[in-house]
Amino acid sequence: MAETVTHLFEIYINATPEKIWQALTDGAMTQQYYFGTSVKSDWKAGSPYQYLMPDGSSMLDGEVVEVDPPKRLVTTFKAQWPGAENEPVTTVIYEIEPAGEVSKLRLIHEGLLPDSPLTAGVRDGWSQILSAMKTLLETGKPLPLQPSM
Amino acid sequence: MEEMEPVFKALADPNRRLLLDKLHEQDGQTLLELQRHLPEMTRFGAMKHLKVLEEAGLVITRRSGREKHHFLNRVPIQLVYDRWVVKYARPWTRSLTGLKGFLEGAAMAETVSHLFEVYFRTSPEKLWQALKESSITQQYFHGLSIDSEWKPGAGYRMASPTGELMIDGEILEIDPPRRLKMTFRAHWDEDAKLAAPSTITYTIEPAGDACKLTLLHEGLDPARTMAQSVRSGWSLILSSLKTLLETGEPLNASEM
Repeated sequence: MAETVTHLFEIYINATPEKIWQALTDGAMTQQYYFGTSVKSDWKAGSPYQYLMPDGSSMLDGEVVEVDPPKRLVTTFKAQWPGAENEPVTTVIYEIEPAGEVSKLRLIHEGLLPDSPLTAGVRDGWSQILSAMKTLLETGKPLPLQPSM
Repeated sequence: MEEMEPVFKALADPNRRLLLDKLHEQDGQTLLELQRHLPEMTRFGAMKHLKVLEEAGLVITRRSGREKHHFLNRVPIQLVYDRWVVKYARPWTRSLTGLKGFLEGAAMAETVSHLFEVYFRTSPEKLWQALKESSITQQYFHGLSIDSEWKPGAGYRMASPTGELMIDGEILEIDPPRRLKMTFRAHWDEDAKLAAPSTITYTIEPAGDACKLTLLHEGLDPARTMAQSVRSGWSLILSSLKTLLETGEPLNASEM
C-alpha cells in the first residue's frame, strides 16, 4: 500500500450550514469563488460532477460518493488541468457543522501522493477557494485574488 | 482517574497491544489490513478488539467511502506515562515491554508543525496592525491582549481579559509589514505548560488586490495534546481575523 498524504482545512464562516451547502453545490456561486468555474451535477450519490471553465471545458471532475445535505459531501477528485494527467483519483470530503452562531466547514483531501505537484498545488488552491468562499458568504462580494485592471 | 480505567483494560490484552504496535508502525490501516496481523482471529474478533481500543480513546477512526481507517491516539498513553510511569517508575521504563516501543516512539517522534494560509481582502499594513494591537487582537484572538516593544529580542505577552498570562515568548525576527517570527510558550493549562517552546512565523504578501497571510507553527511537542489542539485554535483565530478585517464585526463562533 503506497503511503498517501491528507490535507485538512478548517474554516469558520458566519453563515448557516444551508448557505454553505448552497455555496458548495450551486454553479452560480462557485463561479464567484472557485477560480471562476461553475460546478455542475445533480448531486445524487453515484452521479458525476464537473467544475466547468467559462469555455465549457472541465477543470476538474469526479463522482459524488456521499450526499447528506447540509452536513456532509464526499466526492472523488480528478484534476483535468495540464500537468495533472498522471495524478491518481483522490477523495474530497466536506463536513459542515454549527459552531455557536456560525458554522465550521472542514475539508479533507485524501489519497494524495507525497511529493506530487498536485499535492503541493492543491494546498494553496484550497486556501484560496476557502478564503474566497468565506468572503463571498460574509460580505456578498468576491475576494480580489487577481489584480484589478 | 476513573476515566483511565478503559485505557488500562484495553492495554491488558496482548492482541490489542499488538494492534496498537501495528498502528504505530503505520497509521490509517483498515480493518482488513489490521486483521492480517491477527491471523488466528476472525474478522469479528478483530473488530471487537478495535472497538475496545476505540472506546478507550486509544484509536480514532475515520470513514472514507466504504472503508474505515484507524489512527493511533497517543494522548491516553502519554497520560498513563506522565501520571504513573514517570512519577513512580522512571528507572524501570527502559525494561517495560509492550508499551516500550510505543512510548519511545511518542517521545522520539519528530516535532509537529501546522501551516495555515488565508487570503484577506485588506492591505498588508492593516493585517500587520491586527497582529500587534491589543484593541484588535482582543476581537479575534480568544479575547487576548498583546503587549511587546516589537523589536528583536524583546519579549511579548498575551493575557486574558482578567489579566491572566496565556501565551508569551520572544520576538525573533520582525520586518513590518512582511514577517514576524516569535517563540510561543503556552500557559493556558497543565498540558500546555509542560510543552517545550515552539515557534510561530507570520508572513504577509500581496496576492492580486488581496493579501495572503501564512502562519507556520513549528516545533510542537508531539507528546502534548496541545500539538493537535492548536490546529483548531488557529483555524478559529484566523477565521475570526478574516471576518473582523473584511466586515468590521467579530465572529461569534463557539470553539469546536
